[in-house]
Amino acid sequence: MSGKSRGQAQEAGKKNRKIIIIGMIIIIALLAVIVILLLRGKEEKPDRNVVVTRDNVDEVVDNMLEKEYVEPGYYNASMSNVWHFATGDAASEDAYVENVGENTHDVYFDVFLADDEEKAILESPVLPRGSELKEITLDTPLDAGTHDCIMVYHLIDEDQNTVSTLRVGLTIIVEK
Amino acid sequence: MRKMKKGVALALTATMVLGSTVTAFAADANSGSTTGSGTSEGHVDKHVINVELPTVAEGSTPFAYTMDAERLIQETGGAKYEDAVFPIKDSDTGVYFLTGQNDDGKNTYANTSEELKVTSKSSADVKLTVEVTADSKDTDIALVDAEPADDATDPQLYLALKVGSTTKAIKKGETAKAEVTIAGKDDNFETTVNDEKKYVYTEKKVEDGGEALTWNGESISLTGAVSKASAKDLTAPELTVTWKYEDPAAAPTEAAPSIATTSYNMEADTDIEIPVDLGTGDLKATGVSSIKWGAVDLVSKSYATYADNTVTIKANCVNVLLNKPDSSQTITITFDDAASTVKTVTLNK
Repeated sequence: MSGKSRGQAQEAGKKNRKIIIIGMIIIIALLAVIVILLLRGKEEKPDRNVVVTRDNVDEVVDNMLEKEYVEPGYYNASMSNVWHFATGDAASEDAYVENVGENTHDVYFDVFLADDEEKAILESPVLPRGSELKEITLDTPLDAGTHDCIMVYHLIDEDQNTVSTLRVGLTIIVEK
Repeated sequence: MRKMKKGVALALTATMVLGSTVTAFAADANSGSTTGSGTSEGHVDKHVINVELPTVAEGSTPFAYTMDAERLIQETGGAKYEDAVFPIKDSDTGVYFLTGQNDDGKNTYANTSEELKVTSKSSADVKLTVEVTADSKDTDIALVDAEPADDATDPQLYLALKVGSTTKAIKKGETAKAEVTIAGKDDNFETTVNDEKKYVYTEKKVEDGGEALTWNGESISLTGAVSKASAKDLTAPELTVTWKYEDPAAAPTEAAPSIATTSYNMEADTDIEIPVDLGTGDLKATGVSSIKWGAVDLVSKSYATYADNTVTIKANCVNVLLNKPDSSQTITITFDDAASTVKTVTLNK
């Protein structure tokens, strides 16, 4: 084989290796996305209230005997309850949320319209104890008017897993 | 020469006499003027509102309960549940809340839930509202206003929210609401300077061994009772608890139109009256501009009216909606304020 054709073959070989490596990276990335999506789909659902029947009474009683009693938890909510926004996409001058130092967990919160708790209009960052959030802007701008909203606090552990929740009513007023 | 000397002497003498009696009209010794500038030391807001609220453990539901209509737990009692404490059989209402563990480590169940405490750590009064709603699945047992009678033959569940001395029954598709004002404790606060050299109004520090600060609060619990009719194939409603608190002193002087209760149950041949609040100040409406079901204008079809702060869905409209297959219908009410505030109301079967 001539030197020139040998060189061309080597070039082609290098090119093929690059394509293979890129392809493998893409496949690994896709697999990672699939795994993440599958894991997110397995969020634990809360236990439902139980109806005792003749078919399940033994099982229900066993569960009641074994159920772990957990002391109620508490959270000191320090926040403004009426948030004013000049426009739907502006930052509020009076909205604030503080995670006071005496609380037991870091928190984050999501804000929903009271009649649509499927889609959050605001998802906060994590607030460590002793920190506060001000100059809040909504992720989803709202129309002018007064909106009844629900803020759901998530008290989290060091892995950002939710330990407990708290729902607090909130009023958002958009001026224009 | 002599005369001249006399003249000079006289002049000098006159000068001396006059000089000693001339008053120097300088500035008044008791007055003066100067200029300077003043600064304000600053302002500290002494209206502190902090409220400590109960949380719901992940994986749990608020006021989780077990419903035993047929009293099977009592019936199969004895050795089966030696490791738990249940209500006395004769007064047992069939709804069980886990309220704790006794000294022997046994789970304790009662017909009324453990009390949850709300504590106001505020310098001023706080108006607290707790709202409890029950979901409205078709398979849920019927929720009633009062404890079912002993001889009730239909499956009925009574759940009631207790806040202080107030008891509110929880009905399907409706929100049970209880309001209470918790007094603030201004004596628990003091003005200090923080790390940023700013005045702040904070809780007083308690020295080691000192007496802890005391606060005002309120207790909330849930009580339940189920009829002795079989609840087979029925489900127990799930509850949602929402807390609201506000500073009564900060009540807005301007408020947009609103509707306090936005969920109602439909009954055949019965009007539904929906009270509305037109708001206050510049945001106030004078009335309602439209009442719609989807795109259907209910007012033009004589299906709904508005008068005296009340929207009325007429019985003929209710009958039409009851015949629809969906378990609930949405009514859209638009106010005639500058923002054309829109509120929706859910009508449930």
